[in-house]
Amino acid sequence: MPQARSEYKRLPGGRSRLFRRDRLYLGPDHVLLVRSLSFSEEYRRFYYSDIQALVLQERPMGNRRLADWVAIGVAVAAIVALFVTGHPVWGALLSVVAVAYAWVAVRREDCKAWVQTAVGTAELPSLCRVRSARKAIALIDDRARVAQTPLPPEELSRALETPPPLPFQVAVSPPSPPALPVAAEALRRPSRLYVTGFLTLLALGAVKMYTALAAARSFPWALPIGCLVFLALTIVPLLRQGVKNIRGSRVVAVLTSIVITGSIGTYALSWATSENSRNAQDANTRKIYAMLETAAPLHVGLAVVLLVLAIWGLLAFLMAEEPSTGGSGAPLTLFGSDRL
Amino acid sequence: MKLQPPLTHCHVCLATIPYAPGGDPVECRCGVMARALVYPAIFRLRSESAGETIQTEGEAACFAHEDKRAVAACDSCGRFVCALCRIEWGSRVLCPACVNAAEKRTDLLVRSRTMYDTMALITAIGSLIIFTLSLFAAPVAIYLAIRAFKAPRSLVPRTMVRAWFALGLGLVEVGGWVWLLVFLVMKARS
Repeated sequence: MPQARSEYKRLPGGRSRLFRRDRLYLGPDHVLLVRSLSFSEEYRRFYYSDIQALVLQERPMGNRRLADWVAIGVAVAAIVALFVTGHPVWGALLSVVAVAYAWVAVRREDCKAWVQTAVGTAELPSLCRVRSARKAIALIDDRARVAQTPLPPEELSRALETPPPLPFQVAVSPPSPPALPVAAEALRRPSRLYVTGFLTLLALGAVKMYTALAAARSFPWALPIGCLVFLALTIVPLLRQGVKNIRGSRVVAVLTSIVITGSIGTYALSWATSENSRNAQDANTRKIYAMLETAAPLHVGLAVVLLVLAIWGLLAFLMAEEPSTGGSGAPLTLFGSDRL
Repeated sequence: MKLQPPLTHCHVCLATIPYAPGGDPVECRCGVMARALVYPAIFRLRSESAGETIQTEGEAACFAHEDKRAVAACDSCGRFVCALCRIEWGSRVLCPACVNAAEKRTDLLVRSRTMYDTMALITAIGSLIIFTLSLFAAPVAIYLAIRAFKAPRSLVPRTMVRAWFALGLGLVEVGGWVWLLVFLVMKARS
C-alpha cells in the first residue's frame, strides 16, 4: 500500500529499552506517543485541545555524576594495570565494559514528564533527559496554547493552589500505622556487613600497596578471600532484587565491578596457588612465581584498584539518602538505594 | 479541576510540590526542579443531557455526560462512554468524537501497526546463524518483505530499508540453496 507523506514530526528525546522504544511525534492536532515493540508499534494520541497540564520534574545528578567519575576512574586504572602487566585480553574486555558504562552514564535518564488530559494522566517516557524534554515541551506548549482559548493567568494559577494529597498519605495520620518490623527498618539503612566488607577491602588495598612499595611479602591468602567476599557483596543484591528491578544504568556498573573483582580474584587465586607450589620441583612454576613477585606495576595496579573500589563503596554509602516519606524498603547496595 | 496525582508530587521523595503559576520552576526539598504548564482545558465543563443516571457513588461516569453511568471505554481514546454515546464500529467501541474525527482521517483510529519489515529482517538475519534454517526461513523472509510493501505502514516516518534488505538477503539465501542443489546434482552426474 503506497503511503502518503507522514504528517508527523519527531520531537526531541527518546527512550530505548531492550525490546521497547518510545518516541514522541508532533501531529497537526495532537501529540502522538509511539511505543515500538519488537514487531509492532502502539500509538497513543493527546489532542492539543484536550491537554490540561504538562509537568516536568528534573532530578539533581550531583551524587550520581561523582559515582560515574569514580567508576570510570576505577575502570581506567584497571585497564592500565591489566595492559601494563601483560593481560591485554582482560584489558580489552574491561575497556568494552568501561566504554559501555560511560555511554550509559552520559545518556542517563534525569527527568520525568507527564501530560494530564480529561481522561487521566500519562507519563511521556521519551522525555527522560532534561535538554530534550525542555525542547519537546516548549514545542508542545506552543501548539497547545494556539489550540486553546487563553484564560487569565490568575485563573490558571488556581489549578496549582492546593494539590490533593496522595491517598496513602491521608491514611497515614489517623490511625497511626503499626511499627515496621525490625528487619524492614534494617533494610533501609546501609548494611553493616557491606561497610565491613568495604573496610576489609580498604585494608587489603593498603597492605597490597605497602607490599608493592616496600617489596615486602604480603599475606597470599588475604587477597583471594577479600575478593571473594567483595564479589559476594556485589552479587547478593543482584539475587535479592533481581536483575529486572535494577536500572539499566546500574546493571553496567554492577557488571563492571564484577569483571574487575573477578579479574583480581582469578589472578589472586592463581597467585596463591603458585605460592603453595613454590617449593615444587617444577622449574616453570618457580619461574612464574618469581616473575609475579617482581612485577611491581602489577602490585601497584592491584592496590590502586582495591583502594578505589573500597573508597567508591564507602562514598556510595555515605552519600546514599533514603527519603523520609515512602521508601520501597530496598536494601542499600554498592550503588546506593535502588528506589529510583 | 486541578492537577492530579502523581503530577502533584515529587517522583523522587513523594513530597507535595507547590508549583508556581506561569510554568516557573520550583525546587523540591530533595533538589528536584519541577514545573507545571497549565492550560485552559483544565477548566472545561462537560455537557449535560438526559440518560441513565449514576446510582451509587464511585461508579465510572461518561466523559460527555457527567451524571450518566459509563458502560464502556472508547477503544481509540480511552474515554468512558455511556449507553447513549457508545458506538459500535465493527468489533470496536468508539466515542462520538472519535467517529467524527475518523470521517475525515481513518488513520486517527489506528492504535497499533504490525511491522512486517522488521519481522522479515530478523527472519533473514536470524537464519544466518544456523544456515540450514535459511532453507525455510529465506522464503518466509521474502514473503514478509513483500507483505511489508503491501501492508499499511507506520504512522510516523519510517523508511523501507529493512524490507529491501530482508528481500535482498532472502533472495541471496534462496539463490545460494539453488546453486548448492545444482552443484550437487552436477557433481552426482559427473
